Amino acid sequence: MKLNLIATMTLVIACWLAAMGAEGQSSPSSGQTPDQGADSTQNFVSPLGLGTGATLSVTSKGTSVTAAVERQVFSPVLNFWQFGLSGTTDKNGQAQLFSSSDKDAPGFKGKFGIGKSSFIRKWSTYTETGGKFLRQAWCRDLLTVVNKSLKSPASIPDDAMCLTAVIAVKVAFDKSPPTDDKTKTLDSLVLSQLTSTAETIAEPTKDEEQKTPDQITDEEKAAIKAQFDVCVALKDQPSAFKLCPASGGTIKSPEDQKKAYPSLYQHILSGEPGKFQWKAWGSWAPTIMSVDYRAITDGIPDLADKLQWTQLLNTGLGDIALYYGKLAFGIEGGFGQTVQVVTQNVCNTTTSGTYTSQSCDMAMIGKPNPTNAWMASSALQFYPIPVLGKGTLFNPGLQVNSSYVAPTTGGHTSELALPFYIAPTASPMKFVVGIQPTWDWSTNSKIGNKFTISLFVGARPEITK
Amino acid sequence: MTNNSSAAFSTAAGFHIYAIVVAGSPGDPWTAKVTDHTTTQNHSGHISPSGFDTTGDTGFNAA
Repeated sequence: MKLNLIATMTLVIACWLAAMGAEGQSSPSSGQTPDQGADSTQNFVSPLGLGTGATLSVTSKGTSVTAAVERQVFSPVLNFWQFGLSGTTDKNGQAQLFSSSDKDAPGFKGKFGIGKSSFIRKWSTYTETGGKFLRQAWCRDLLTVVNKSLKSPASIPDDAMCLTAVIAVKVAFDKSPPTDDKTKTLDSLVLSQLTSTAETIAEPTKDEEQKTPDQITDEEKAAIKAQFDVCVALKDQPSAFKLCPASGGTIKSPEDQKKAYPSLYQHILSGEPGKFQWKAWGSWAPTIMSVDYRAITDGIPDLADKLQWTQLLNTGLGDIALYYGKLAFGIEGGFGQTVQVVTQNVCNTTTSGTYTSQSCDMAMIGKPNPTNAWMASSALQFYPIPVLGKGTLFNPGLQVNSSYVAPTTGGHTSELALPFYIAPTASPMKFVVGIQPTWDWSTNSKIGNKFTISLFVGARPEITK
Repeated sequence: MTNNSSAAFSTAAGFHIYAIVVAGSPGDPWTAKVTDHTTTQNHSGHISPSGFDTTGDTGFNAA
């Protein structure tokens, strides 16, 4: 049997399923990835994670396509993984100066990481008390149906639990039952069902001490089953059955039912996740670099022999990301291989009489020499920026990204990027379009300092805590 | 903001309990549908001021 869950929501963070077995053991299954803090351009050097989606980015160096997937698993130690691939073409062979650690350097990059998110866990207290509150609200909603049919409806206090409310409505029903037989039969059925289950639905908490975080208590199972049994009994009564979960009607969440029963919500619900969340993970980031070059022998370049240098460069990375409301901040540190590439035109000139022709290639003079390097980067994200107010079609977002690479042979390269983007407020997969000014500084005189502007567009996941 | 998400659970027929926790921007609406293609349970809500909402622990009788 396959049970499907389809959600259209801001973000599904966690969902799980527990067998109603005698032992109450749970069989958690993964749901949609949280995609926590994915950034706008799926920057491989961003500590906010890749996020599920794909982005096309066009820069002065070339065109890159990045695709990544992130999924959650339920494990006490590591509870999510991510995998991304990025391919960047050297646009018309014009990329002359770059470092393999640049996010838009020509070549193929991969990133595989596993880690732990504070958010991916069973929020047992929250879902248990949420369910308990909803069953109380369901009972009260059913009693409201009965109460409305009475000539002299009962007065039910706001904070009355099911048991108290059903007694009050039953007294009113006995005093002044509806004259219509059909309504009277329905009311009588609802009251008899709720009278026999109200105590069970109240879930006495006498065994709370025995409860462990991932267990569903026998009392909770009994309460959920009691609601199910009442709904089975009411199946032929549309006006009452429509309030049941299995009716196919819309079941309101605790936040929506809070408006009708604020005192019960206050009294019952607890364990809501906090605004502050974090995640930490480690990644292996391989890069395949391929560069045409001409060898230098005894200080003399051999320009005639075309050679190609292809190598897998490995990097290990550690990331920590922090989330609070609309703010997301991440830092990343790592150690791995990087290579500086400086290409130039190498031309073969053919002379015939007074005519010459040239055939040129972009190639590096001298074999590329990868070095080990320490790497660090940070990202601060604001999304959505509340400048357009609620109900707008688009929302803007801004990131401040910085990175620093220090080869063990000395020197460093630094980068500061400010991607600014807009995205539709509502879409199945957010469509992001933006512009990113980037400043680079390098102690390598061949690379020096530069300023570039890139345009990017892509389908990106929601950015959340 | 809206995203679509889906998950499939292979499970035996019988009574089960599930829960969904939702996160997002305060006030944003959300919906969720749980189905075995015989019975369908629809949930809806709005994100709390803290950024969350839930279906609560809910029963489902899988055919």
